[in-house]
Amino acid sequence: MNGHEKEKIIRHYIKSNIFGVAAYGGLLVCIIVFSIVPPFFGESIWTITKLSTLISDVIVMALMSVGAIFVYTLGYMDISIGKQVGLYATLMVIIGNKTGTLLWGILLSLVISLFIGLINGATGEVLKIHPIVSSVVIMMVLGGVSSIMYNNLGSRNISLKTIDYRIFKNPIFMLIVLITELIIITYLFNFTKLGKYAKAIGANPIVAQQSGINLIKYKIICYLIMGLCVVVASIFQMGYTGSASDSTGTGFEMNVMIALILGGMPLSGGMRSKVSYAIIGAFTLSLLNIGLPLIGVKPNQVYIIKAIIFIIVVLITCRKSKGMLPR
Amino acid sequence: MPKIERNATKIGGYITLKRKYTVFEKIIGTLALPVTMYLIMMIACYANGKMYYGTWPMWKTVLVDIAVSTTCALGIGLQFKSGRFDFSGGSIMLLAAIIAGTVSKNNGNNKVIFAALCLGICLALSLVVSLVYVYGRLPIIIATIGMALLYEAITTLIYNGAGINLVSNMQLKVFSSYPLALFPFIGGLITYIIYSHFTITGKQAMLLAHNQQVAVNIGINEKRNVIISYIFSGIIFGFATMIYASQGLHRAAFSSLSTVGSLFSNILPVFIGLMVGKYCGDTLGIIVGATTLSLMSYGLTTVFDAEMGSAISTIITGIFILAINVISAQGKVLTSIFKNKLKATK
Repeated sequence: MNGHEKEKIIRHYIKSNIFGVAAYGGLLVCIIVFSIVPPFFGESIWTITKLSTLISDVIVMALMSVGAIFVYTLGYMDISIGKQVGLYATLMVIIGNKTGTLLWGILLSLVISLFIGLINGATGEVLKIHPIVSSVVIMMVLGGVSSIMYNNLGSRNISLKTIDYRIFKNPIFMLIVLITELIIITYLFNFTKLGKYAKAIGANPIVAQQSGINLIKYKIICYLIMGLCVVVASIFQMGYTGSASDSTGTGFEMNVMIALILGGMPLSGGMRSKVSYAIIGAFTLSLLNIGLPLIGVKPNQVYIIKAIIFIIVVLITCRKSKGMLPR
Repeated sequence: MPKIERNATKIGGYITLKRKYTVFEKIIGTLALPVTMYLIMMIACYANGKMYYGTWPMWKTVLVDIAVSTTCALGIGLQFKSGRFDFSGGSIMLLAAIIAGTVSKNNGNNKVIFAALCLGICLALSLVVSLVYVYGRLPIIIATIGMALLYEAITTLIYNGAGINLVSNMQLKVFSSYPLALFPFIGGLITYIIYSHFTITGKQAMLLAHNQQVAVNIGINEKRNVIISYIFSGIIFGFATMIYASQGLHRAAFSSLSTVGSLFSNILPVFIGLMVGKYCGDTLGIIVGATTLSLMSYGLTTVFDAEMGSAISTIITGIFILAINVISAQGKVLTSIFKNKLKATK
């Protein structure tokens, strides 16, 4: 093989894997920059404390983003995630304080998440409405329920009283849970018909249905998986401080969306979807959160740098080169 | 010969499928929702001893709510009915509110400067969004999320991230009080009507929404159309910002995409408007939607305390949206079931 052919192959590889290349490249650049620059400011990202902060910052977002990958692969998004996290965390604290264990709160949260997954997954197909509408409705209902609960409690913030929740602050335990979830989701996504069908539905639902795929069944399963992952994320969200408030989970749905887009996930879903996008996006976003203040960036300047990086990344990964304007 | 339905029309040998409504049906279809909501809330309030429901002071409060809700909804609806789901509206309004409010406060609370800045800044920010979308060639959701993040980030930088507070500023607060709140409301309405019914761009936007490929193939300049549509939605957002900014305290957006919440709360009148639009057109439909939701919100906060009323209002609004979308999507199926049952009983 001569040099010209090699160059052609490399060009073709980069062109066909532009999403992955840009996303992995972005993470790599972040790691390199935040490894080299902070020592000039007398800081380092490679200390136990900073790595623990990074893990605790990334854990909730990564757990949710990995779970959401199935739903985003369908070409949908769920904007009720934040309110779900808020409700589950609140229930875990309230029931935990009454029973002395987190188990019942977690079980109730699981039941609710399955119910929500069922509604979100089925309404689109059965009632012929866009699934984002059902997730808006669930967001509003859960938001209202949460407000009523805190109104009745007479407080905006509640804490665990007797339960020992230190385990949820342990970075090693966080990593173990994240890796376990990642392995399970990767297996389901890449090695079972569930993942293949989800991608097929995202790519073209009509063709998928014509091919004999049961749309309702697989959409519901995708939402159920995301629901379960949201419950796991809620445990860590609540467990990190041992408390919940009426603002717990606010904006999480948008953070998940930003992480996935930053990771290279196409919002239209389909065949180009990968689990790795969720992890890359979540880690890149958390690295920016942790790393930028270490190189002398003021907290309120972090937002604009993140926004500019986001725009640059999407201009590289999501730009449509020709034809009509994308919708 | 196929039997032609009573309400089907025959034009140039073709049977059009659009159902024609009588004037009576149009009036009933338009007023059913707000009147029903008004009566339900009136009964609930009177049953709880709140006899001021329906009085002129109540209407003054509701009118301001309708004004802000309708103008926001018109701005969002203008893009939404063109098939573009814009996430940046809330951040445009917040950034414009902070700049216009602060500059006006520093210039002797000048109302004209405030109104002009609201309009000018919203127009400029909206225009930038359209340029990023058109020349960045990004999917609309991603482009508008990116710009929303950028504008929100700017709110944390300008004026030390202090936001804007016009709660006690009686001069600028007039825009969120009756009767001056009607000025931005009417301004937004006229802009929307001019765009939708009296501009070529508005008509072409409808073609693009219905079939983008065909519209482009027949020679419509999509880029130009999008940019002009964003200029109009920017002006409407400018009118909405006049009321929104003077309504109270607006903090800088320290949480990513926190302004998108205002989008989702103001998109509800658009949903209702598009459904009721078949009786009265989408402009009046959006006003009907905003009126219905404002009446419900006012009634519930009257019956319960403010926080509880707001929570219950949110839940009912959520269920309301679901019902409207289901009826809208299943309308024909439900009608045919109803007709079949009627036939069976006969």
